[in-house]
Amino acid sequence: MERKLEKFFYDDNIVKMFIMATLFWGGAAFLVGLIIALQLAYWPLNLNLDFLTFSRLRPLHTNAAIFAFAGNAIFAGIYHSSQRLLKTRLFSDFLTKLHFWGWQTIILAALITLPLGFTQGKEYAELEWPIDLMITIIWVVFAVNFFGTIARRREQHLYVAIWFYIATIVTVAMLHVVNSIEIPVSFLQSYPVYAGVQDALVQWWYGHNAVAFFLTTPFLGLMYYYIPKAVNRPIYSYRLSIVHFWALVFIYIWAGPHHLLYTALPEWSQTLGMIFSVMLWAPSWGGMINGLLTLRGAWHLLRTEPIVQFLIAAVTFYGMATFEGPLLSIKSVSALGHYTDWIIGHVHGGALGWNGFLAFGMIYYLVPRLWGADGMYSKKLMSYHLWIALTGILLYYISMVSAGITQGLMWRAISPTGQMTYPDFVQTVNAIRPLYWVRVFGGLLFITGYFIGIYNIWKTIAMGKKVSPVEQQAYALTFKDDSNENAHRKLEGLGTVFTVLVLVSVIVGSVIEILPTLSIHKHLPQDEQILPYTALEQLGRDVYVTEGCYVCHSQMIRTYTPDVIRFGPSSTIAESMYDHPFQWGSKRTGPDLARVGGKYPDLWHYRHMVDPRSMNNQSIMPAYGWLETKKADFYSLRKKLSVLRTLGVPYTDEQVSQADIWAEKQAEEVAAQLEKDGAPAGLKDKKIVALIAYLQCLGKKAKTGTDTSKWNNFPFKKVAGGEQ
Amino acid sequence: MKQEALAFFQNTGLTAFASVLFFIAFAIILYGVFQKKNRKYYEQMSQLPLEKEQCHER
Repeated sequence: MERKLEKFFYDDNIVKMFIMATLFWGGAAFLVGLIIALQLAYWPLNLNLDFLTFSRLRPLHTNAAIFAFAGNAIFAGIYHSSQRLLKTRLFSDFLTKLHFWGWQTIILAALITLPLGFTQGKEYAELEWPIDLMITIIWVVFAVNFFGTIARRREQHLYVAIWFYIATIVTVAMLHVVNSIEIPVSFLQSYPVYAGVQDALVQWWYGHNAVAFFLTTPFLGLMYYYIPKAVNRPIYSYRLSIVHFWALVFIYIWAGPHHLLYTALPEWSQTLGMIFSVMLWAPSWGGMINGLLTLRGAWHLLRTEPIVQFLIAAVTFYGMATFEGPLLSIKSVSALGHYTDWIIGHVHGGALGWNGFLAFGMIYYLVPRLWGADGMYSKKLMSYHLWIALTGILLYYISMVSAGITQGLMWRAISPTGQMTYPDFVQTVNAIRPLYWVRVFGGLLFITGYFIGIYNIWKTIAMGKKVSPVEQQAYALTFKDDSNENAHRKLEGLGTVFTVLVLVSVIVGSVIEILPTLSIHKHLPQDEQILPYTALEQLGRDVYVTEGCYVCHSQMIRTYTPDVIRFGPSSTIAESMYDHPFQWGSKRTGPDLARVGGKYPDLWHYRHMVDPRSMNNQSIMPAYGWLETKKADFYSLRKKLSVLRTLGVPYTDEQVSQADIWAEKQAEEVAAQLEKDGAPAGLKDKKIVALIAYLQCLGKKAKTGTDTSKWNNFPFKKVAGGEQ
Repeated sequence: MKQEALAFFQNTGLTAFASVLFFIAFAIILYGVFQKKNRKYYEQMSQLPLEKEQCHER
């Protein structure tokens, strides 16, 4: 059959739109990052406003950086490079636009709901269920548009960048859907179906693979396209890129449990996570070397071309971050680094260095081409951007790693007499406070670089001539030629089979890792099980989640001696078995709270929440004054408890139907005691009372415990002479 | 089931089998990719991003 020469146009308008969105939301993400960095260095900066408080803004920062900045950059690059690699226009102009506006709407929804405290309390998956649904729909739109484009291609073979994009689309879909299974309580609240250790495992399987399949594989696809473009040379070894791809897809999916080392997660799962993380060293560095060596014979470009400098700096950061990641996944290193700022340094090396520089390198490559200018307005400004931002990242990274290791060592320091050298947690915070200012300065430099970039891009666009789309030509595919190719080469041409193989390889890893843990609670011995939260405690727990306490406080005492000495016996699986969502946390800016119950009187908590300095004059915790004025919603409790009962929390019929009364009565008692001790009157219907009840029950819910609250036994049986 | 599941993973024969399986998959990919006769094909593939598109005259 004769092949037909076809004419078509690329859709570059959408690429421009996604670039604009990347730059806009990138700025927002960086600025929020700077604000919260300042708040850690100087606590009064929440201005006593709930929606400006660190614990509400930090989720906004992470979501904006990952899904708004990196997300839009990925879409820009994927839509630009795929059209060219597949020699066809995108599948549907309508879906393309729907994808763009849908994604921006999701970001806007996040921008509004997260500061207002509508959150699921699961890191990088904080967005509430209606937004989760929107994400699912828009991701399907993206997938249909992308696979439709592949189906209409005029190039039989799928270049390796396309493979990375395919892996991204199918795996992110799986991660998002599985981790977001939740039951709505109201329009903007829901409880995840998983509890405690299950929720932790599913969440970090999601969390780690969000890094793998949202911040790594799509950017690697971009790297395999834009580095050859920028240096006008093919990738160093195409074969190595294939090995890189399959190794990452097979191995990455298993690595999640390295976020849970020394926790209550079953040991085999932790070990599995650690081993697979360490294995990632090889393919990651293979990929980095492949990117770097693409410059063979053209190293001079690294001296003269800022775009190449950006891309190569990005790949170098990829190498550094993927060296450090497996290192931190080794149990003994994790013991020191986990919960500290070392992790914060690590992720910013990846996010700013790898994702940030690759995105800016790509944008600098694309802007003059898309807006019809002869190169960027100023090469010098590009260089300034690079070097100022690079200095910023290095300051950020070095300060945070120093802070992390310092604090990690102080937590474990034992004096010759066998006591903790720094028994007061705040001592270990004080030691690193100056480094928080260094971090602020580093972030400021990175943002300065960003604004230089914006100015340069704006001038370039102003310089550009109006360009109309240029007609492209390519032969239609017949799918019949080359019938004697060998198996693997055929596979490389078969989009569907290939996609299924990728999906199978990620599903197998996920199922083996997650399935055994899903039924773990059923097998806990009776005497180890705990009592469910009282209605008031559950209400307080919802306040805890809303305020984002988990951002700075863990609830997981590790099976690690310094943790046990400082905070008490290590946490058990049973202790979080009714926690929807789990709140184990990943960072200790403040102390662990798993056994804080009973440690201080109620009044201490009241004063500490209203003014942390009144109880500990060195504390850097922001004040949560609104908790004593905002009302707790007792009437939501019937619905909440009934949803929790559906999820397996053993509440009785009466407890559910009288949930509000149960909570009100306990609140009256707590408030009365507070008033007697010197707190103001009229706190009984305020959020602070619920939160105090919750904090005071942490670590005290054992069925066999001697100091369990009588409120667990509601409704009280009538006995002669009134209530029991 | 928990005990069964854990026993499952303490089965050294099975874990050894899994690692051999992984290694074989890895070896097959390596073998397929590094076959000499494919050299020309991969050279073509690696040129894909560099194909010129139609542009405006500058």
